Amino acid sequence: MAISQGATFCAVTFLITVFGVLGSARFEPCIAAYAAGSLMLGGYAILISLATGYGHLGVVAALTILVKAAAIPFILIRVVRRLGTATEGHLQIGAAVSLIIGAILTVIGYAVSGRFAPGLGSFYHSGLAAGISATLIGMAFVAMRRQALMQLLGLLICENGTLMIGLAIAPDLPLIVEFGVILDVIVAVVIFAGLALSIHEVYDTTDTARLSNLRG
Amino acid sequence: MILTLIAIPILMALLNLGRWNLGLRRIILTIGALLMLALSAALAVRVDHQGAVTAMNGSLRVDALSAILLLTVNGAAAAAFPYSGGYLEELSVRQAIAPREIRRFSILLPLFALMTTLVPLLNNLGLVWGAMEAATLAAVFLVAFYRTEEALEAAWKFLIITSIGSLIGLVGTLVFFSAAATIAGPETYAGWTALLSLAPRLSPGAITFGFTLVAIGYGTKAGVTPMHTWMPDAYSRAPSPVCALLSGSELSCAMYIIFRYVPIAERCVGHVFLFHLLGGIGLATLLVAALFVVAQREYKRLLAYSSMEHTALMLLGVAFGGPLGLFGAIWQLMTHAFIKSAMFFGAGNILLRYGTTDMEAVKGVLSRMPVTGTLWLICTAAIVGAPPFALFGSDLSIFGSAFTHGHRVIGALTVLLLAVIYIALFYWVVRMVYGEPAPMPEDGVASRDAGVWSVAPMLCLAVLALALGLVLPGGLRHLLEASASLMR
Repeated sequence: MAISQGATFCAVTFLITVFGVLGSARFEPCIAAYAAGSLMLGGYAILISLATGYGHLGVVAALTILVKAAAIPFILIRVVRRLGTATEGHLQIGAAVSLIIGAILTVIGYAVSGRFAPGLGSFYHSGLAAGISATLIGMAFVAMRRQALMQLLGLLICENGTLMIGLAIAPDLPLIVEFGVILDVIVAVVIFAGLALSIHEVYDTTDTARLSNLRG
Repeated sequence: MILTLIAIPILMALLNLGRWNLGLRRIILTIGALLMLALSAALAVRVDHQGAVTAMNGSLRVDALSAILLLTVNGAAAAAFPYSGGYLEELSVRQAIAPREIRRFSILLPLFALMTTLVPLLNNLGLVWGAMEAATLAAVFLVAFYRTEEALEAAWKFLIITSIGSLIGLVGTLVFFSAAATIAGPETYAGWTALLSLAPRLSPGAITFGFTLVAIGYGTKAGVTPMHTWMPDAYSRAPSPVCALLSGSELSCAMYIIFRYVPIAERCVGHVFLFHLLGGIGLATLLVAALFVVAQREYKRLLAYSSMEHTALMLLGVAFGGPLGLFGAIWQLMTHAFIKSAMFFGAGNILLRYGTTDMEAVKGVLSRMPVTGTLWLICTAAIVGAPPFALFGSDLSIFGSAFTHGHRVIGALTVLLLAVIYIALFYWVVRMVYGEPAPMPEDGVASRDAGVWSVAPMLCLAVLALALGLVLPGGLRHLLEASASLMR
């Protein structure tokens, strides 16, 4: 019972951190919220591991916390510092509208989670619903923000949501797959960061609205 | 043999870590790529004779369908790697490229080839996802090679859109995993073969949902509408050998993964669902490709929309189904990779001489660059599926399947849209190839036709497209038929 409540707590808190990213215009609080969300994802993995007895989920949790709650936020903060003040987030779609869109997507996430994997126990359902909502919000976030780093954060949220879905519906996924996914993510972040810095060098901004030379 | 195949690109990347000159790098890349192609061919022969070959306790597995993809990606690489050497050499004559850039390019190229080789080899749908994603990541800096505003924009779009696509694909993969997990233990369902045997017992609701996500997710990397927007940008701004690899290898890998999921979905939920989903996506993609080919002004973007058209045809082949449709789809996958690579080589040679991708500004290619111009014209005939080239056979199989299965309206619509695309493609290419060339500065570089390294790969692929159209070797036909039956 306690584990089940803990899992729900982690899933809900995870979703709240996603809203934290959604509602902020500044990079550093966004990155902090992402790190907190990753921590909750790690916590969820530990609880699933305890409930199912799958030892490898402990490794997944450790990797998640190490990579997503520590390494990636560290890299991102360094990139932000290097870019300086020129990259302060300016919201094209205001915080209030973003949050409303997030709320709508959350409702959709909870509604479709039943169809996703029919017959799932209530224990996993909270994670599945939060995961789907986060994935959808992440995608919307990429579309709503123009700053290169914000778009990257959107993708990372999306990816966290996907991992949450994975933990909920396929907790016995072989470790090597999870390992591969996490490795891909860290490589992706390094590449993204490198590209964002290059864009900044060439354009003197990371506002992707400036990236509009290619059409049709 | 499988492990050697994996070791070669790693070795190539390691060798290129050294601070060599371009000539040596070119030799390393060429020998490595040819070795990979030879090993793939040897593996294909073995699969043809004795069935699936496995390594590492079945984690790596080559059957007929994976053998076809191995031949495809390594065939495209065996042409693109030597071409890259020639391209970089000609490029460095025209503009300054830092040795650092060339070094990075020649390290990333074999890493990309490693990933596209792992996709057909891996027998685990999760790891296949990882390899596909890693191939994309390796390609990002190749797309951004020129570091201009437009190249960076194209690379950013490529990264963002295909990453979203691959996350959608990952969720789809997870749904398949979870559907299998509910009826079998964790160790048994990770591989394609195990999943296929479980297929009839999987939850139809979950598989319908999962396959839709897989088709859209992996389809993003193959340019299906509406996730295609990265494709013309990346293809127009990346160096031409990279375009050839994206269109020849990455697109083929993405289609291969969808092909792998097809029989699982078909055995679980039946063909009608596949027909509606893939037929719908295919037709929409074909329509968008037709609209943009007609309205196009840049030749590299033109080729990107042509790649979309071939993706659409492969999906339609699967949607129409039957031995004929599936055979056509797989045959299309292979031949398109070869011919489109050759088209991009030609486009690269033209771009280096004319310095523009604007079709209105390029005239008289044939008189300024007789060899490239002739080959480009031949390749255009091949890419539009004119007889006797190989794509004629695959197009015909797909149309045949449409009409034998009674899909007359969709079949007729497909033929009509293809006709529009082919006429427009030919119109543009003929306009570029013939006509009076604008006077160019006679600096000794701009006036010459491309060198041997830039022309020979094109020639080989054009000859291959012709030869395979005239005679389909028995072994290859057998492999293609075996692949088609693996998809049912």
